[in-house]
Amino acid sequence: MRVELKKFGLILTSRPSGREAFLAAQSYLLPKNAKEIVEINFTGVAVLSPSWADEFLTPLKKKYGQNLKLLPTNNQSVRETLKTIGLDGMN
Amino acid sequence: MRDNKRKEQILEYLEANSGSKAVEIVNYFQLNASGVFRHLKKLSEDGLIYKTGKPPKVFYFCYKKNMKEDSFLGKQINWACSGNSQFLGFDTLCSTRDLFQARLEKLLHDLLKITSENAAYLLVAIVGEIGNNAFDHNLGNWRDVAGLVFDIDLAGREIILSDRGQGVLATIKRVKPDVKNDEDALRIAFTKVISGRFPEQRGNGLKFVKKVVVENNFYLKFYSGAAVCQIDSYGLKLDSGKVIIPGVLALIKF
Repeated sequence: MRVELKKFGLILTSRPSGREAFLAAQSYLLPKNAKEIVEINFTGVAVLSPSWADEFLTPLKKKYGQNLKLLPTNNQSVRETLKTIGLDGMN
Repeated sequence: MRDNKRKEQILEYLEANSGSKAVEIVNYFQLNASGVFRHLKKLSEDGLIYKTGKPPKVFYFCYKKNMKEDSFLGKQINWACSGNSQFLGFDTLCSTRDLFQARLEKLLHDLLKITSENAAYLLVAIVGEIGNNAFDHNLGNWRDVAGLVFDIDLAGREIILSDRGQGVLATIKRVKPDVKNDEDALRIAFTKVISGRFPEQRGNGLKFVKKVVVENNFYLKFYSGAAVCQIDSYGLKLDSGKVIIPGVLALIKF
């Protein structure tokens, strides 16, 4: 399945909102089966920072492992953030 | 009349010796302590000086000296040092994270008019990291004023974030008790992956800020306690500050 990150907001910077986004996604959006492929689309997100990403993407990586796919983006704040939290090799 | 002259002399002394203790003023002017405290109290009430610390370590500072440094920064330094509302710009205090988030969206909108898309996105990301740190580390534990001052001078291309929280040293000490001083704490905060929010295994935020500032020719001046850290395209430089900022004050130029 594909997760459209823009549906969580234009500016994704704080830990609490990242955590809330993960909890909401886990309840209503994400597949229960960890073997299913989950694609993250960053299109439409203006700002992503390590705090938000660490609360949302890091647990996704932990749960879905190699089945988590980060789609390519030219947005520098997204790219720098992915480098910072160690997920830059995935897109 | 004599009282006014003495007050002026004490003010001049504090302009030249910002961060003095009352005992130093007593010794310098050879006055009795109660008289000096009376003058200091009056000067403080008149909004000319402020003090930090708790007895027996109370330090007195002169607002004027800070103002000379730079008007936009000087005003914010005065607020960061004292929490005195007379130095607050109109509508600059974000008392909650939600308010900060709303103003962050306005900042993005404004930045897109004067910078490239990616510069605007990166600037908002680092402002978001620094601003949210204030709430992450000080929620329910502010010194006096709750929240974050978020002031923007678009024409001057400057952004200031400031809080009356516990400061970087106190935060780092919770997980690294051997940290020596404010300078050491800032060095750790900007260069090591460490989180003051034990047991959370995080602490990437300020490293991200440093990298973005260095690689994009921005400038950051970050005060906490008695230390100041400057980051530009040449890297990070630490120094002891001329003022004591109990919480944090960050100036971003772009």
